[in-house]
Amino acid sequence: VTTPPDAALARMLAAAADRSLAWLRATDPDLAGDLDGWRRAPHRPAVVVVGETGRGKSSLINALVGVPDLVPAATATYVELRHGARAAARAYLPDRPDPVPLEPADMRDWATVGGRLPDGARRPRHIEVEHPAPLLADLTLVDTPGAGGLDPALAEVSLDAAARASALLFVADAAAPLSRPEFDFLRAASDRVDVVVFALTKVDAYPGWRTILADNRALLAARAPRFAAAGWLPVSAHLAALAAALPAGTGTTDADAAELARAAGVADLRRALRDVAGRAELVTHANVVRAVRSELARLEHAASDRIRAHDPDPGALSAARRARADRAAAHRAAARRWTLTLRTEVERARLELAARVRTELGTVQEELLDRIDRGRGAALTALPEEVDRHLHAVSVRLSRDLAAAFDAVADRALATAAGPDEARRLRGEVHATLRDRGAGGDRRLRTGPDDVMVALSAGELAYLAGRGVVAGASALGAGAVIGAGLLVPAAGIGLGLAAGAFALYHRRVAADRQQARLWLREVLAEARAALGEEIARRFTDLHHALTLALDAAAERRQRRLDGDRAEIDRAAAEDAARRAARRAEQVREREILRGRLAQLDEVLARAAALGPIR
Amino acid sequence: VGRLTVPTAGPLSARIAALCDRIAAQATPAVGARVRRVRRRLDEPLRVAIAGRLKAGKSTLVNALIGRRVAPTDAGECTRVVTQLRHGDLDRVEVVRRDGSRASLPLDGSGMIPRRLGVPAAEVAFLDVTLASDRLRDLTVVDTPGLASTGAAGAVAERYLTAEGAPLDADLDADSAGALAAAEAIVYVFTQSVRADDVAALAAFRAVSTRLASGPVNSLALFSKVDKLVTGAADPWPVAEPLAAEQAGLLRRVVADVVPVNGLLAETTEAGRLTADDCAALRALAGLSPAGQLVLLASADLFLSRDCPVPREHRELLLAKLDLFGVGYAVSALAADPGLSSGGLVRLLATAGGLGRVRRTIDRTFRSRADALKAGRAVSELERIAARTEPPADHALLRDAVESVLREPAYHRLRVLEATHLVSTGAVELPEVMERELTRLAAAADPAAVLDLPGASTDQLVAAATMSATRWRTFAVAEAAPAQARVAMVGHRAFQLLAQRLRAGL
Repeated sequence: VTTPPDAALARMLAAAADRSLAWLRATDPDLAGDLDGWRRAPHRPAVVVVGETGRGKSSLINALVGVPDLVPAATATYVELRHGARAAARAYLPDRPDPVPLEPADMRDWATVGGRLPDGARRPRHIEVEHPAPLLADLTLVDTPGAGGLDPALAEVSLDAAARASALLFVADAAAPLSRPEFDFLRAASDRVDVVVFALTKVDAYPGWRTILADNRALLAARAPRFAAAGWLPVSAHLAALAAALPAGTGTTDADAAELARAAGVADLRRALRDVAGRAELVTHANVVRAVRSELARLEHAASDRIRAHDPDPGALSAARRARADRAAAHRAAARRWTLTLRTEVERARLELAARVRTELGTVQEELLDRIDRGRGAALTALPEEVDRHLHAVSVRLSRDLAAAFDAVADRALATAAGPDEARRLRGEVHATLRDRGAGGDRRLRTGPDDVMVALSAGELAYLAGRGVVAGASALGAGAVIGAGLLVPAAGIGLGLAAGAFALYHRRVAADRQQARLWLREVLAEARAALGEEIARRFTDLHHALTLALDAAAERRQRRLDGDRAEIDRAAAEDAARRAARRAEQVREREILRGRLAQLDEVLARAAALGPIR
Repeated sequence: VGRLTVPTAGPLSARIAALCDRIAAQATPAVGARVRRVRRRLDEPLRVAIAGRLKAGKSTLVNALIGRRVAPTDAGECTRVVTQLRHGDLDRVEVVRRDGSRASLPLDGSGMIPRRLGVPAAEVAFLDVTLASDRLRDLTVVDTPGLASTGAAGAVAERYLTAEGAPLDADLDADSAGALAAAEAIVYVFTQSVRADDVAALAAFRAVSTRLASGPVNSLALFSKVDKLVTGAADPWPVAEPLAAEQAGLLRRVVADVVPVNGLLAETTEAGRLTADDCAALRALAGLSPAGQLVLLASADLFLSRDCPVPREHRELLLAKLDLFGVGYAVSALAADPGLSSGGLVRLLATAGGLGRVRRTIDRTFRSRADALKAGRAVSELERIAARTEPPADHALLRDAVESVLREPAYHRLRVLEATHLVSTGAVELPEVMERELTRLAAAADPAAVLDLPGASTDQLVAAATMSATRWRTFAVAEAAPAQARVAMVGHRAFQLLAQRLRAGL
């Protein structure tokens, strides 16, 4: 019996994954646990399509699936395409508990950068499309917004989706060789994903695409040797679309369509993706190994730094000291800066939002007073419902503004205090704190003199992220959705009239305009007070949460600095011989790391055959 | 026709030139020499740098603008060194080394800048190309390597060795840097849509000069390769126009306007590269069956590989000159109107290229400002020299001269440019209405345009200017924060001076 090569590869990869997870457990048990859990969880192979904005990701996806206009271009959120008996689409909204079904015609408005959302709606975190196309039976495709656009948050969304991919489909176009932002993005996105399939799009439009493709290969070989042998698939979504729907009345034949389809190259790409998906288990192991390898590379880098600290050369030692002193000074300055920035930013955002409340309610008041003056009978009777509806609209808009304000404040405060990686983690901590404080379900905040006025409700996090998402309905997991780099207040603000207000209205007003006006003013004054109080409370929470997170970060950094100092001092106190010995020990440690890296590299080199190769 | 009519000198530049002469006569020789260099620049045409990402189509646009194909633009080509194209009596290429020495080269057989420079790329500071082209009489063009390229690596290094990160090489020796960093205006070329690094590159250009950095006053963006926005030979303009307008809105603070253009068609028609043979070949293609045309024109590869009455070599040539879009456009024009003359076809293609609008916008954006831009540039150079000058006498001489210039009413324009810069970079925030007013002050010379009252009588203009002056002062005194107040006082004084000028009937 001959062993199929895949089985041997599978055994090798599984063993390597086990071994590398064991290594990782010693240094970062959390990450190891995550990776292990992910490896064991059953999931369908997901190919995440990444690349810079405007490279033709969405058109390519439509061509791959074979359905024109299935996903729109210029996506602002990530769109997951999976198999379903019937074509359907759902949006997971930040402020709705359940996904909202979408009509195909609405896709553009919901999913794209320039799309018009219905009044008061927030951009979905994630859109899910089901379609019976045969390709989707084999794998799930995820379209991402892409990097390099003017909104950096969109690149974050893409990276996040990429972290949970089985394989990446990296899309570049034939207009120009890979640019530096594309390169950086590729490097970041492929940190945890081993298999990357490269596609060169728009080859129909650029006669020089072969030159560009050769240049891309050379650039990858020089800058990212890992992808030196990776296969590139030239494709044209335009030709594929043309072949699928040749215009009538031109006298074209099936042979013409076949020729166009062949030139489009989409079938080859489809086959390559199916090959990858067909070996999902192997790919998962390879991804685990890749993720651990990235982590080990970071450790190796840190080890090299430590070795420099133990360098017997006194010059190097004093340089290390100077660097340490600089870092400590920078750290002190940063701490001063962030407390100041945070206070200013929170205060400013709070004032802005409070002003917004005044304006919004002022507009409502004017409009309704006008209606009271002109209305009669039935119109007056319906006034409380009218007020309730208006208040609801105001609260939806405010929730959105509040989320944006929170986000902006966190952005600025975290930017002064932390690097991008740390900022991501801090956001997570802030989330957790806000969630704790915000939990508590519905509550009635204000009761006016007659137990009337305004009810405020605070939902749960699930309310914001969409219940389905939290329940894990997404192929990429809830983390991909909530951790997308967006900070949301723990809950939206729900505002409406309490039952007492209705009762009071009917008791007091009946059909008296004067009384109606009086009632309206009272109710709106209550609403203003309630909102003002609520907003102040939310911002106090935010301030508290950010302070906690930043304090913790500062402490961590201080500890690290202290550790460095101790290390350097220890090194300085020892005589040259001891230093040399310690250094030798650390070099040995690094050698172990390097040895492990080499082992993993060897395994991964053999796994390179999982993707298309040249 | 087609000449870029940007005037080279004006009253401001002339005044600064005289000042330079005076300083140069009094200062020590070393400082005098530097000041004379600044002086010489004032006599030269306005210098416009073309910047943008790698393969954005910068060189193609340069060729189109000067109406000659001198910069190589093939698929694997890229501009490796900063190339300055200026007017001269003879066609000549000089390689300027980093040490300042020069080596002369002829243009190659096809009249293009030679690919092999005979000097290692690392030693080249820039290429100084003079051309006997009338289009360059009033405008010097500086072509720059692409930004955000992945840089030097192996075999590709040969071709993509570029000045990374900045449009102008920071390592240049002082003289070359003086010569090149001194572009007074910038045309930024991008494709598809503005990306984050495009905005960063434009911001980097601001750092080149302190007094006159890039802003809506002296920069313009071209939205090139619009034909790639749509597939096949479909009309790109319905997509390109709104997209350009949208990008202009995004870049409101950075550039004066965003103009869509099809660089290749512009280059081919401007440089007169479409021959009678080419037109005949296009006619032959127009005679094919609709099905044959459809498949042939579906992609570049099919266009070259299919059986067809036009020989393959000639098809390659057509593709190089017109791209698939241009070929498709010409073929459908000829199919629709078989009687279309070759001249008519070229005119149609030129219109589709859209260079006319580019030229009009460059003219409008830079023409009225050339004098102020050059003068501002020179003043900032003098300040820089002053900052580096050791002898106290020279230092005082330079400082006094600059201060005296800035105090004169006519030079208030420079103060306005500075204020505009502060506002356009977001350093100082103004209400949007005032921001627009300030931009008009900096950009327009015609009082009616400044006051946004086209066709108004002098009396009306005087009244409007006085009112604006009062409004700006009220703002400065009553509402503004200190930084805003400083800017507002500049605006106030500008309107006051404008009213005076109008009253004096100037």
